Amino acid sequence: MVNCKEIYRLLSDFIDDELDYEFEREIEQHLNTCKCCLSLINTFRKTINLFNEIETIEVPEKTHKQLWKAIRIEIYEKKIITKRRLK
Amino acid sequence: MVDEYSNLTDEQLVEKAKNGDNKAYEMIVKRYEEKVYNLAYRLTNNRTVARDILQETFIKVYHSLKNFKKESKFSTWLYRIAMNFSLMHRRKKQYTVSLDNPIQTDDEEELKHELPDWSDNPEATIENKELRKKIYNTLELLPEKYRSVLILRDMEGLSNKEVSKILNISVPAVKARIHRSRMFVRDKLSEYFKQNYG
Repeated sequence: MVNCKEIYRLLSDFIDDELDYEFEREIEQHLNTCKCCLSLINTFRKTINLFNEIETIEVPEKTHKQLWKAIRIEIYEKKIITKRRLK
Repeated sequence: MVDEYSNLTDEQLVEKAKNGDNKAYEMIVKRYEEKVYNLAYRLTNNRTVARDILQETFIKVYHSLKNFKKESKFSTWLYRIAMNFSLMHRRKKQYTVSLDNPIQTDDEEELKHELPDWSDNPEATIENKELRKKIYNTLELLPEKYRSVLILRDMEGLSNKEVSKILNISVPAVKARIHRSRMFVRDKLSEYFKQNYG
């Protein structure tokens, strides 16, 4: 049977669904009787959920404009250089 | 004009851009601008630096398109370039992180003690500004190699395989680092809830 130490080591694999079915069942059975591991797994899962929930930030308008300006200069300059080389 | 490109795959756009179609490249930038900015911001925690990384990444990608091999996904290659610029900026700013020191997490012995379960605490939400700040501050405490994995895996939502390709490390190494990083942050959040709501 799986013990607390193994659960500690395998938490990420368990949460990421990377363990085989039999192992998962053993862990679930252990969690029914071990309050300590249940607490660990709940808080561990919650930590991951908090990361998942961090919202995407929008690119500020000024940054967006500066990016496009830089790219267009780069593309334009490259074209000019190419044309000059061809002449 | 760019809209006619919106249904094309990344790989199709890359092919067109390689052949000098600048509109195709503009579509690539449009598609990934926000993702690269967020990655850079999360890695550096600085909007000005994120702005610079955003520009550097897309200019570098534009000039390096010819070197892009189809062996990896375009997004993986793009992320790797953005990641490298982000790491260079962090090093320039002399963030005090060590690449080699292992991070400390509660060891298995701690499991013998009763752990408070704060997962159902109504304050355990990302809407909680103080908690969000705590999460960002904790990220800053993580050594580079752990933080990068955590950001790519749990914030950007990439798979272990994708992270391994971006960072050029093995999948088992990704798994080991993500586990320790998550545990480290969990421990810090447990301390936070104990101090504030215990």
